[in-house]
Amino acid sequence: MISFRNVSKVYGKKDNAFVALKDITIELPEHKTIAVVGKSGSGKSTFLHLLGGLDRPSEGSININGKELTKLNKKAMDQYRGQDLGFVFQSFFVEANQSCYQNVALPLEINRVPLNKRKAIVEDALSQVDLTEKIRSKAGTLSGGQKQRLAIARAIVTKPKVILADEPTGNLDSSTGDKVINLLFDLHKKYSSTLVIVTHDQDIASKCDVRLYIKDGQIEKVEGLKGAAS
Amino acid sequence: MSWADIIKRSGRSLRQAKIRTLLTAAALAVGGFTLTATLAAANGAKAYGNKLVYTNFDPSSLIVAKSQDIFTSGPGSNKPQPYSSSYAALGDRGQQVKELDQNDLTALAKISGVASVFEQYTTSAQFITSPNSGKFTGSVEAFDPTISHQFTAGNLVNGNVPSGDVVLPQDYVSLLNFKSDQAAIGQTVSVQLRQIVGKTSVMNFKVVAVLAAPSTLIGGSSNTTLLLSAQDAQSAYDFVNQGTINYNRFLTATVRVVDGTNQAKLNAVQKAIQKAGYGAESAQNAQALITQIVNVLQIIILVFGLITLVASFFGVVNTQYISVLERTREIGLMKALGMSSRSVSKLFIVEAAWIGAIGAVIGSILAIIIGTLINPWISKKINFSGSNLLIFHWQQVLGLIVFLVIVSVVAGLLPARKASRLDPIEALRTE
Ligand SMILES: Nc1ncnc2c1ncn2[C@@H]1O[C@H](COP(=O)(O)OP(=O)(O)OP(=O)(O)O)[C@@H](O)[C@H]1O
Ligand SMILES: [Mg+2]
Repeated sequence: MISFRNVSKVYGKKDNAFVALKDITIELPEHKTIAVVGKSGSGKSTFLHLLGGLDRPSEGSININGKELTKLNKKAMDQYRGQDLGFVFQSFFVEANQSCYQNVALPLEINRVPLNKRKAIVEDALSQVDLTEKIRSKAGTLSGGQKQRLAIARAIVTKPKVILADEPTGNLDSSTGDKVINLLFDLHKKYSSTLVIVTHDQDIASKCDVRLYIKDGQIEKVEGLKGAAS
Repeated sequence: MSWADIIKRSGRSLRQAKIRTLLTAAALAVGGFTLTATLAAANGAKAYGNKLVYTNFDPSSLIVAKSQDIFTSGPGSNKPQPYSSSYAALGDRGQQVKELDQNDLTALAKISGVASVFEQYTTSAQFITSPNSGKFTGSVEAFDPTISHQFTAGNLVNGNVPSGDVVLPQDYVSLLNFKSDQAAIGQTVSVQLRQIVGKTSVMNFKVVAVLAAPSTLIGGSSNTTLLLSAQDAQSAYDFVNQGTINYNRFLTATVRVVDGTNQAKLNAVQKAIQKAGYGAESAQNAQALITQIVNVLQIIILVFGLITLVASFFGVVNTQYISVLERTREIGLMKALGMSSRSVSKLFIVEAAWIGAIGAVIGSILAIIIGTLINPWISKKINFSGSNLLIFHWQQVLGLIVFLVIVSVVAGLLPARKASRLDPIEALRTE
């Protein structure tokens, strides 16, 4: 269970203060696909950042599977991101100068997975995204779709419980984007992880079990929650 | 992230910015080169100084003079001084210098801790010759068994020269037409002495050993000094000097100290002699003087080396700042993926350490290679005869490398701090 309780996020101070999220309270199920939908500037990324432990709420509390995020110290928060989460970003953020192997191995290094176990894990992750051939290639030489698949391999390599994807198709043409989305859904099924996708795209949203509509920092409506809960 | 991964990762980052890394390391290498060479030169100079002192000086004896200023400002004074009967003219310019006479020697012998007083009877010969050679200049002196001598041929049975024998400096072997150092042993050498009034006398000696050409600059005179038994040296001295005002007056005498290898006893006797109004100098004092000169020179060059290091320090700071800026997204990503601020900071510190290590190793290895190659040439050029000017101690080189690594680590601290404090959201926002 992912639960937000009276969560607000205010950027800046006093006169410059900007309320990006306002008093959000919601419970979202695990092992489901969740779309976060809204206009630009509505607060989708802010929501995802709070969920991903990259930022802390100004008020309220966030609880994931019994883990009270607001109470975690810096080290525990790093651990939470490194072990429980997988991130996929709009602009891929792969390290262009490094090989696909090294890109995917990064989370394993961060999580101190022993050197001798890494190779098999990385190879498995790359085969999931159909990039086995590219293991020695520099990430910079890949196409956009391949880069995003590489980023997905990096996100799943630690077998996280939750995958957070912020507009994963935003920089891709629609057919490549579809493939990436299908891949994310396939992997979600395979690992029965929770998949949270931030998107503008109604097609993508309609594929998800739950749709969370955000407007001006507040929840406008939620779809699929009852069905999912049943 | 483990240290091994951090080290590998930072090494990879450096390889991706090869030129920048090498240029920054090059600046450090210049410092490393200068410092390595400076330390090596100082080592060489000190070793040479020690050699110089100990081949001319018995470390358990003291050199004593009528006054201490002979050792400090050199003999003679350029200002009028109150007259004393100790004064004697020295050299052609008529500088006045106080000399020791027999009374002084007796007084010195009575100082507690003094084993014996040994005057150096150096007597100029009119000429030195052998039965089938020309005539050459030279002098004679008593063999001092307390100084280390090196022979190229022959040897001394009881560690001293028997009466009637001579230790011949190597330069005379060919001059006196002996076929080799070995062939000179047992041959006769004649020394003609002449009194001021013109009366001459010839003394014949059998060559017992050939003295290796001294490796020292100070020892230059001993290239022309034949070493005799104390008794023969005394006879030669007496013949030339008896009846003159200089007879039995000495610029310096050697005082042997009881148990003089014990530094504390040597120092005590030195103090006592100085308290009695004489000048006294130990091998250590002479050595200290040389060491002091070397140290001063070394400090001057080290300061220049350190100045280049200051420049390279800022080079490292600059390079690392650029590195942090260039890799803002990478840092943001690593932090988003759960890398701790500490690990991020370590990553950049290790990177700086790599740069330092590369620069230091390049600099010191270049210094060692170049130094080793040009050592023979320098030694020849400045007449270092057999000694190396540049002596590399691996402990020093290692210490220097560690020092340079520390310098670059310190230089990398600020950029590393900046990297570790990056907010991942901000960092990932930069396009
Ligand atoms: N660090 C910040 N300081 C001030 N305001 C911020 C900051 N980060 C976000 N905001 C503001 O908060 C609001 C929500 O931002 P957010 O990035 O969550 O929007 P979004 O829904 O993800 O938009 P988009 O679809 O364009 O990515 C925006 O108005 C944005 O300007
Ligand atoms: Mg956004």
